[in-house]
Amino acid sequence: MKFPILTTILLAPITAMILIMLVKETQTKLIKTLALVGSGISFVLSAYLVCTFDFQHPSFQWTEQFFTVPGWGIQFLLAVDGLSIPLLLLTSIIMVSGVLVTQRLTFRVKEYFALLLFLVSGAYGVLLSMDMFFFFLFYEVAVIPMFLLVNVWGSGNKVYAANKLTLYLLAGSALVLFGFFILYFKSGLYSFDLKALLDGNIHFDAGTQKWLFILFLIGFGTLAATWPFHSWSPDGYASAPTAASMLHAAVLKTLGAYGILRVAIPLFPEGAKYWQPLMLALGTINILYAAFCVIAQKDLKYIVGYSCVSHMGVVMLGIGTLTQTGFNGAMFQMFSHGIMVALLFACVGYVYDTKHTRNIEELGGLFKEMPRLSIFFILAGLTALGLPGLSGFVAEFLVIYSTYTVSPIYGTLALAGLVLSAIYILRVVKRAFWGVPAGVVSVGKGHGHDQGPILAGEDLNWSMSIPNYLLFSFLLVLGIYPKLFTDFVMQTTALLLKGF
Amino acid sequence: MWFYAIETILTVAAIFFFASSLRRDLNVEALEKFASVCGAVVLASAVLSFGFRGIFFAGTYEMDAFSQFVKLILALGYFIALLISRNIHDIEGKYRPEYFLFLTTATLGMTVLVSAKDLITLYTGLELSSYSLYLLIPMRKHDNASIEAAIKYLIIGIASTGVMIYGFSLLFGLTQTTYLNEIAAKLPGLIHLHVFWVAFFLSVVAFLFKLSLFPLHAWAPDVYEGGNAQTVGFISTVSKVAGLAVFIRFVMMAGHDNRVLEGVWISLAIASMTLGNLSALIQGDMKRLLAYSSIAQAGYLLVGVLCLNDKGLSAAMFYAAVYVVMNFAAFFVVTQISEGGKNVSISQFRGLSSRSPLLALVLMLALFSLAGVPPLAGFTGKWFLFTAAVSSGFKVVAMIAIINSVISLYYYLVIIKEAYTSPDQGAYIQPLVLSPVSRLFCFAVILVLAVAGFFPGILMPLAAKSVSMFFG
Repeated sequence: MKFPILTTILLAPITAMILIMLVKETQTKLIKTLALVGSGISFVLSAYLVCTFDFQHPSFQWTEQFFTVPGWGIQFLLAVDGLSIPLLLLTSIIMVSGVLVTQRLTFRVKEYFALLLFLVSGAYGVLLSMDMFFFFLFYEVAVIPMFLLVNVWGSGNKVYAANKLTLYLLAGSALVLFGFFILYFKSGLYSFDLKALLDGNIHFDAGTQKWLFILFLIGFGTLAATWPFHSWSPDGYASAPTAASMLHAAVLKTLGAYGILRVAIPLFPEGAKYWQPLMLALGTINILYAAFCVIAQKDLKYIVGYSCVSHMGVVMLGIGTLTQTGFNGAMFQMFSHGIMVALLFACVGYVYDTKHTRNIEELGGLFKEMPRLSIFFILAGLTALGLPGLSGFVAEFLVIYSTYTVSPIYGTLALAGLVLSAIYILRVVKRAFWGVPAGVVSVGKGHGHDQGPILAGEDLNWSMSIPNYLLFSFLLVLGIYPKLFTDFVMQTTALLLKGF
Repeated sequence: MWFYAIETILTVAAIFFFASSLRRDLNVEALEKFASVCGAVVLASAVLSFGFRGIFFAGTYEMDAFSQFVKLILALGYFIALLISRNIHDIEGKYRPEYFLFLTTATLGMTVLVSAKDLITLYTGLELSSYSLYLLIPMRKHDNASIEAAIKYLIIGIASTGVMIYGFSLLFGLTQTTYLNEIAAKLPGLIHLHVFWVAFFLSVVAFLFKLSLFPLHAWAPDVYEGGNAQTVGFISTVSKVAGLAVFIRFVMMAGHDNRVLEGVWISLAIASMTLGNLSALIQGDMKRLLAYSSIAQAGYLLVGVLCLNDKGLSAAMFYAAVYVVMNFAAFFVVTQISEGGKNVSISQFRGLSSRSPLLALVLMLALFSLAGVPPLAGFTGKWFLFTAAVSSGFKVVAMIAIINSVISLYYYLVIIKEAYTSPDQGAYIQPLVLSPVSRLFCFAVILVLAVAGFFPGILMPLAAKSVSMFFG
């Protein structure tokens, strides 16, 4: 029997979580080491999957199957393909850097890392599960730890944000849940086996495809923060502690888009064609609307949060083109945006810990005080505005290019949105990072200072910037040599289009 | 003798509790300890007699796969009820033996109820359990609300039993027998008669009452508010499961292809879920809220039953089993928070996470499980229920049920939010210290909810096996 890599990826964070719960509260060093080891194992194994990926074989690989529930079509089936492997790698990178970023945490350390590991195991579960029961189970696993992380360690209007987030996510996923039941019934398989469903060449009639597609589009779209169901996400990020914001913005949102690509597109090609104008419109509205929202924000976390919503619009637009280039671009954007937004949140969290404020009007001259941190923020910001040479440019280029082939109007509008992103990023950089250092600022309220006490004005030291280097290296490498990534997803995205 | 292990032990325990109620110098603490051990013994005997099969007392009493599975759930509920019945503040020490006595006879009545294959035996079991419960409600001290609740419970209960007896008499008139098997054998000649279906519906009214399904739900909020939390927890779980079991037996007696009353069940299920959830949204008292939530939960259970196939029934039994654990866990938290046994309003949950993180976690998991949030047992149970409904063709019912679980999430979330909000200055900041038994119970609840949620392959085959006998 071969080594069960996929199960190990899933179990490593869960095992670390259980071990952490058994450790004494005061042994914070051990707890942090356990968290790092748990997420590190998943990272190494995901990297191994990337290296050993079989490019000739676009369908599922590494299939593992364990127990089943007889008579109900439920089984614990894990498999990966070109869609899930990059996102697995993304999740593990974010998790490792999230743990590294929070090394200085002092408040209720044990529960914090246990919940963070639980959260990430949910993300791994969604990406690995090829059974709809477990897919949905893991899809929702994130809700409980997220609720607690925001409520206990969050800052600002955290109770409101936690409730809003939970209600939105569960309302959205209720549609997905219903959709899965219909699939179980209508496919004639009477099984929740997603792999069999995708491999099985099952054709649904056009009417069914239309309404099922919109069901999944709204259901998954809520998690992907698609307009008009996006408003939970900036509130949620703004209140969540740093590592949770990183994971949520980079990974959980991506899972929504992943769900659309995984389930809705290959199963309902006619539905996708029917709703294509809607997807293009929603994607464009997302880009433009969220970009205008960013310009009005003063809180650094809200700025990053809304820019994240705006960037998810690019993903939606890429999916909406229903072309292979568009899908590649969407996948590229998911990966690159995930890394970038994690880097931004890591920097913002650090700024909040040192300056006790995130209001850009109270900040200023950060570059003089903390040059190393500022460089990372600015580089991530430049990725966000699509500077050539960094990965954001490649993703946006692919998506906008393919949008032009489908609809020049939406292409132009989306391009305008990207100009807006340059405006808001440069505005933040000018206000917060250049200029004269601000004087004494108000003392922060609540917990929220999740990276622990840091002296005012202290810059990132060498060891604390490891996660930032790690994240930035991906932005740079993929920006210079995007073929590394596109080779990966190309086979699989071609497969998605076979029904068209 | 071994076949009646559960019934015998319950009877012996009842006699013991009765005897101790006669003593003047009663050691309440020792009695409570004994009660917990007694609950554990009953649970163990239910596990041991799980495989027993047999027909007794001239065919009136049968141990079959279904009855043994239900008895296992009943014994589990009984055990939990006795375990969390330590230091009850709102029942005086001198009434404590009676309290345990009536809990025991109620459980005994329910075990008779689920094994009865004869209308008379069934009626005896039903009344034994019902009267014990009627007596438990007014035992609470402090106020007259419990008396009012008891009278409401008694009147509605007796009225519904009366209707049931009328239904039984019609059934007897139609078939000249009181044996369920013989009634079932004579069905082919009866199912065309309207009067049979009227008799059938009237016969199950008492079980709809036990399940607190619409339109026989109105007693629940007042009784839950008036009774003490442990008793009410027992009524909302164990009594409900017993009612569900007999209801399933009756529905299956009429046969799974006779769907005359399907429309009735569908409307009752939808009305119970919707009414329960919408009313729960505006409640301020925790037990009242749990009453409305349990009305809604009964609606979910009915969704499984109305499928009338093995999938639906096994889903309902699975959900019933996990429902006992999660609902009792919610009531357990109420008993711990309650000050001197008084009712708990939702605002009193404020700051629970800083008073006792473990209790707050149990509350959160229990309520999320009731709402159906993965990866908890309640989610998996609902998944089975809704799968069964969709694959049996009840797509609209499943959709309404899913919408209802999203609605329900809101009021559960309000409680959880209070528990995780920092406390105000002043009251309720003192830490809550849990006894070792309570801590153990908390860990057990967390474990059960997680394991039953993640690994449905353990419990589901048992539930499926218990109902497979209805489908030959």
